[in-house]
Amino acid sequence: MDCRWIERYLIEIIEGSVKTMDMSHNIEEHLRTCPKCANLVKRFRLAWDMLENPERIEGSSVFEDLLLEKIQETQKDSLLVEIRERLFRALRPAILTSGLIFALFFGVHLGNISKEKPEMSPDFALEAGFLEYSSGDLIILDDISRGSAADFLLNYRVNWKEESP
Amino acid sequence: MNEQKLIRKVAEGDQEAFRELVQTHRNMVINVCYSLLNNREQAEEAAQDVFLQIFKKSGEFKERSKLSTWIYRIAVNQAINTRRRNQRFKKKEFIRLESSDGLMSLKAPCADCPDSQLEAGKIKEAVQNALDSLPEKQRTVIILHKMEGLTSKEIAQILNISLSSAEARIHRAKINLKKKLSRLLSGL
Repeated sequence: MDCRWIERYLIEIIEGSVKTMDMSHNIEEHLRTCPKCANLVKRFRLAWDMLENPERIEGSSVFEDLLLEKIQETQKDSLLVEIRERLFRALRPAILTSGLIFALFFGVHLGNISKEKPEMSPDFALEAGFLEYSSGDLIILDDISRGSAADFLLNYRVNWKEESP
Repeated sequence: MNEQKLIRKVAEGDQEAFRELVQTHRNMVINVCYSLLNNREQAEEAAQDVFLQIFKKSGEFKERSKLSTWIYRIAVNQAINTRRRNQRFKKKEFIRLESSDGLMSLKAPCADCPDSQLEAGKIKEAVQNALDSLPEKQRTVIILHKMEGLTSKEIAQILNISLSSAEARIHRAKINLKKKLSRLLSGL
């Protein structure tokens, strides 16, 4: 029996659950002759006792008052949340309707913009890529569908060009 | 009033029933939190949050398990969350220095003996350090098993794990704690 065995069976030694009588006897014998291991076992026993008998505390005298305060605060908060949710539920149809009306007006407005066919100079149209040369004549690409991205870009560039000094 | 009746009344919003529930389980909840957190103020605050949760969730209590098991579960989870939150914001060493009462959660068995007082203090520190260095799951089970005196079956129910998992976790925690403790105690 050497010191490693003591370290290995520390729990069994202090809990008195060493399996065989022989081993128990050997351990006792080793502890009698090895002060280092005896000290370790003594300290380990103290540590184990501390674990099994922890200090117990009691809540402060204001524990329940503070708890009730917390509960009231939470209830107040949850009441506010409930009011907010109910208000939102009540106003939801109105919000959705106004959103729909806004989207409708916005769509109509966009449609009106694209209806206005801009006057554009051949130079600008050429630069924008909406004119091309074909056998020496300028051809305007008329097949740009209204409301398409190309149409929007054309409008935007024409307007921008006209507005810029 | 029996447990089921009491919790049903709490779920209905009966304040008197809730007060009774708090009085019955107050010390148990505070001490579980104290064992897991090592700090009196934090333990009290966590215990209040536990009762707040009980108040809110009393309707969710399923009467398959014991009320105390359910309360234990909430307390353990709350304490673990508080500990995680604390660890996120403060360094471990800093916490140890700040919470001077942390080491006091372990009672010295022979505090009257003058020659062992110093050693008892060092042993307390070693126990605390060894516990803190364990992985969280092992730390929780060893505290519930050793400090709270719960059986593996009770721990399994509280942590919602199988009995064999609880037993294995306790065993691993014991082995690990023994290794760390013996290393720390040899160095004293």
